[in-house]
Amino acid sequence: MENVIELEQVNKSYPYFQLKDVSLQVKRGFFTGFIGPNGAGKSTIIKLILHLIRPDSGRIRILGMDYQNNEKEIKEKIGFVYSEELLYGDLTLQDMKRIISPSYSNWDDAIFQQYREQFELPLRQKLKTFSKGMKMKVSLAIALSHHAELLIMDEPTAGLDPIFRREFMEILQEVMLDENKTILFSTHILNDLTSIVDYITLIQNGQILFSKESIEIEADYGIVRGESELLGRDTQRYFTKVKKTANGFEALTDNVAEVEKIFGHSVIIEKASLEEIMYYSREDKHASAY
Amino acid sequence: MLQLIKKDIMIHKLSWLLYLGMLVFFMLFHKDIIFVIALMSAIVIMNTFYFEEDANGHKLWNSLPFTRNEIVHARYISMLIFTCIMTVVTVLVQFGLAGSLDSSLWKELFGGIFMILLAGGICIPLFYYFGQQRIVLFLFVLFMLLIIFGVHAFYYVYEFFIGGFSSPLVPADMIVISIGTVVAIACYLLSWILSIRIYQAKEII
Repeated sequence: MENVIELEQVNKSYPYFQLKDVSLQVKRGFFTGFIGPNGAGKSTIIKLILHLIRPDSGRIRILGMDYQNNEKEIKEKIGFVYSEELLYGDLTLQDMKRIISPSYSNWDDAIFQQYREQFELPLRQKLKTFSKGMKMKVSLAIALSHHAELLIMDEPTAGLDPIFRREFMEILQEVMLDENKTILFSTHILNDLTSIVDYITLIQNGQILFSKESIEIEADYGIVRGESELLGRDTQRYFTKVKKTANGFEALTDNVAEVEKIFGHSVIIEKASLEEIMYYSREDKHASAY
Repeated sequence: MLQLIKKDIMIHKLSWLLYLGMLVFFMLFHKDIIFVIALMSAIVIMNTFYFEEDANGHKLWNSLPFTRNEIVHARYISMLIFTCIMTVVTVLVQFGLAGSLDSSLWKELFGGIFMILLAGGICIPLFYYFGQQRIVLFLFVLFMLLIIFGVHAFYYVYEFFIGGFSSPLVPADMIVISIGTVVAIACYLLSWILSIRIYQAKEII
């Protein structure tokens, strides 16, 4: 399977944060959810992918090309939606389209009109009068109107109401019917992803913890509950993180089959949601490792 | 790149009418053509940066199919276009108000363009360096002060040098204006190169 995004051993340091040896592959034709808590490094990686910032070391290839030699070709094939608005408030949607559309050689006015009508966006109203949801629809309509192969979305649903978030995800589901399109969708609102995601990449403190198929995660990850006596040095390795509770322990495992084999019916195993995986994967003082 | 220049002009939209009104107002009450050209060009340039910062334009245009070099080139060319527009409009307004044009008008036009190339040349790399930060408002004030004090300094320096140069073949003011042209163009080109370097290294946040 062809990778549309390839990061190899990428490092980027700031005074209070760093990405450490990040390697990431995003496969063509799939929806990849890029998850992690606030400040984990999702936006930094997206900025690296979009060439807004440069890595200190490592290699970045997008659609088989690199920015040093093919910057404009790469950007032609990327559609982007950011959480913040990138719109000139005093311009109308018509003006905005006029200044953006000639930037893309593949701009398709018919598709733009189709999305504009679908999203019920007025053409001659100043953009500063649009609601946050409408502004996000403008960004999405622009991102979808130039036959982009790769759509990169950095927390586009943050701050939006649940109804709009659902609508937004339904639109992306329609987009994914085209098997040549790839979406990298960063979010910390994990419910948004459940119905659509093919791959999940979890980032924590500037490091990729895992990048797996969502069905694989569903099969492998589980929350295990049992009595404290069951825990020992030999059993510890089956758990990613263990939390002691009043009645025993609660732990995350990435190997449900093995845990079932070892502990049998002496523990209760439940499917782990993405939220639970993210919670147990965090490195802080509240979830103490055994 | 042409698209970026068109964008720089389009984002002002109806503000162009406001600029025209201001220009006529200054011409009616101030009549210092050097000051009017430099000030009005500076206002349009500052507003371009303001609109860009307000819309998070750095992130937008760097995500679109443009290189950073193109973005800087376009801005410097836009600045020249704004100055040309303001110079032509000033001449037309002057003609409309006075009914004729003074034969020494070209020296004042030169003065206005000289000032904007110098002040813009100093300030634009700073806009690129400090862009996306709150200090930008301070830079706008600095730009204005450079124009206001620069125009007065220009008159003083012009008078000072005009007495210092004498040649039987070339008039003194021609020598001063030639030197001024070289200085202004050199400053603008150096500023252009510096801005490219700054913007290439800039982290777009």
